[in-house]
Amino acid sequence: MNRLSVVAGPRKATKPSANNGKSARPSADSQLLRPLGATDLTSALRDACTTLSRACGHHGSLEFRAPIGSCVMPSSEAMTLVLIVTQAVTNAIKYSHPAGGPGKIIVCCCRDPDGTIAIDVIDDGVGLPENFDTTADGGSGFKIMRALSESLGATLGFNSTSLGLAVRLRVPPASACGQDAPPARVSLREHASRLLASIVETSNDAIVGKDLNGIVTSWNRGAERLFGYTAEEMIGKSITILFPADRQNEEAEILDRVRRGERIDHYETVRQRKDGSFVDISLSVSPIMDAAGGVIGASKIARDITERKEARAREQLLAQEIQHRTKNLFAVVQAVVARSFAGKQSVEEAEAAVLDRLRSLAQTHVMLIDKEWQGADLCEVVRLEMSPYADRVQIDGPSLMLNAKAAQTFALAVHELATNAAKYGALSNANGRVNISWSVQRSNGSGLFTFGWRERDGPPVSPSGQKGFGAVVLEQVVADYFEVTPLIVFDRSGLRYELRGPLDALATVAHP
Amino acid sequence: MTGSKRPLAGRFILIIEDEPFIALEVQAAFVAVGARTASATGIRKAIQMIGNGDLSAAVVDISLGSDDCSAVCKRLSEGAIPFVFYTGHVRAGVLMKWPEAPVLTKLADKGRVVEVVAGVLR
Repeated sequence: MNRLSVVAGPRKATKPSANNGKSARPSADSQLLRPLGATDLTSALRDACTTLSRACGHHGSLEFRAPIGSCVMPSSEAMTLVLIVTQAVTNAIKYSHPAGGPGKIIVCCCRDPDGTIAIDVIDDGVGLPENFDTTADGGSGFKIMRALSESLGATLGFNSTSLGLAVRLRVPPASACGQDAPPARVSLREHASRLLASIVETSNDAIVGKDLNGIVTSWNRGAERLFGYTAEEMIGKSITILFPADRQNEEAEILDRVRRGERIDHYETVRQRKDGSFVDISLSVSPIMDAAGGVIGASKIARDITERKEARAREQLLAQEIQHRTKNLFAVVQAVVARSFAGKQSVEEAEAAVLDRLRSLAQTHVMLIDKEWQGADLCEVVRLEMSPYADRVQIDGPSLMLNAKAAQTFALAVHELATNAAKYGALSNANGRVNISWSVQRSNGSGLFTFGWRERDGPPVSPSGQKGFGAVVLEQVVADYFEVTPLIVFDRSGLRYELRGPLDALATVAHP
Repeated sequence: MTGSKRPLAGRFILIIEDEPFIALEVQAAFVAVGARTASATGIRKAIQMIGNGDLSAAVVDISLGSDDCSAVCKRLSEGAIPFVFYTGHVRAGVLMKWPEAPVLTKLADKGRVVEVVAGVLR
C-alpha cells in the first residue's frame, strides 16, 4: 500500500481544481506543506479506510466507525492525521498476524466531551513485542507516526495486550475544531513550518543553517551525528570550525556564491569532526531569502559519502589491477610467440611449444585467480608444473608464500626446466630423475632464499647455443625479476640450475 | 627511421621497466638496430646503472611496482641523458615535471619506441 495515494484522497475530494492538471502525481511534500483550506476529517478518514480496506485483501477486514459526524479542520492537519492513521493501519496489516490468517482492524474516530478528537486504530493481533519501547523502537513507520503527532501537538499512545494492539491518537481541542468552524489557533503556515522542522530534525543528513558571515544558526540531529558537535556547541559559532586547515578558503568561495543567490549542488569535500577525524561529504548549499527576496543566509545539507568514496577507490584499484595484469599477460604471450618461433626448430615444433607454454600460463593464472591474486605457495607452484613427471621428481622445501608475480615467474621457469629435461635432459630417458629443493634462512629480519634444480642419470647435456624462450626466461627474466643472476651448470650428471638471493624480492615485495 | 639499418649502432640504451617480458621485447627491438641495452626492474638498480655512466638514452616506465619513476628521471636529467616515457599509467604529475620527454603508451609498436628514442638522440 502506498501511503501517498491514500493521502491524495481528501485533497481531491475537497479541492478538485487545486491540481490545475499540472502534475499528475502530486508529491507528498506539496500535499503536506501547501495550505489547501479546510477538510472534513471524518470523510477524509472514511475515504482513506476505503482505499486501505482494499489493501487488506485476504489479510482480513477493515472497519471504519465515526460517531463524531463531520469534523472540519485545516486540510494540512487532516492530512497529517490521515497519514498517521494510514501508517498505523499499514503496521497492523503487516505485523498483527505474523502467522497469517484473517484479522480485523477497526478505525474509530470520536470526540471527547472536552473537544479532544480521539482516533483509535485497533487490531486483534499479537500486539507489540515484549520490551518494545514505543518512544524509541520501531522502524521508519513508528518514527513517522511519532514525528507527525508531535508536529500536531497530539499525543500518540499504544495499548498492547495479548488480544491486540490499540494505537490511540489524541488531538487537543486547540487544533480540533467544531463543525464548520474556521481554522484553528495554529495557522497553516505555522503548522507547515512545524512539520518541516520535524522533517529536518529527523533527517539522516546533516542540515545546517548559517548567516552570511558563516555563523551557524541551526544544527539538526543529523549534523550532531555526522560531525560530533551538539547544536549548543555550534549555534553562534563559525561553520569554519568544521573545515580542515587546508580547506579554510572554501568558505569564502561558498559564501560568495550564496550572496549571489547561487546554489551549490553535490560538491564533494572533506570536513573534520569534533574528534579530529576527517569525513568525506557531499555538500549542497542553497541561499535562504527573506520575504523581500534578499539573501540572508544559507542552508547546507551534508551527506557522509565515506562508503561511496571507498567503493569508488576499490573500483579504480581493481580496474588498474586488471589493466596491469592484462598488459603483463599480453607481454608474456608476445614473448612466448616471438621467442618460440625464433629458433631453428620446425614450425610444428614451435607451434607445439607455444601451445604448451600457453597451457602452463593458463594453469598458473587459474591457480592465482582461485587465490584472488594474493599469491601462491611455492610448493603448489612446483607440484602443479611437475605433475606430469610426479614419479620421477623429488620435491623438498618448506611452504613459502610468493607474491603473484613471483609465482608466475617461478611457474614459467619451472615449466621451461621441465620441458627442457623432457626433451634433452633427465626426463628424456627411462631412468633419469630430478631433485627440486629450496630453503629459507632467516637472520635479523632479512632472509636468504636458495632454490636448486638438479638432474641425475640423464643423457649428457650441453648448452644449446640458441636463445629460445626457455633460455630467456631462465637467464634474463629470472635475473631481472629477482635481481640475482642464476647459476646454470651443465654437469656430467645433468643440468643444475641454482638461484640464491634475498627473500624479500619474491615473497614480500609487492609488485602489483 | 633513418636510412641506415643500424641507426643506433654504438648507442647504449637503458630500459627501466618492472615487467621483465616487456623489457625483453623493447631490448630486442634496440638490439636489432645495433644498440647495446640493459634493463632495470626497479629504482635502485636503475640509479646504480645511471651512475655507471656511458648511457646514451633511457626508456622509462612511469610506475615501477609501487614506486613512481620521479627519482630516476631526476638522475637522468642531472646527467643530461635524454629519455622517453613508455608507460601503462599516465600520471600527469610526473609528465608535467619533464615536459620535454616524449610519451608512448604501453604495448605500442616496439619499432615506434626505437624511432622516438632515435629522435631524442639526434
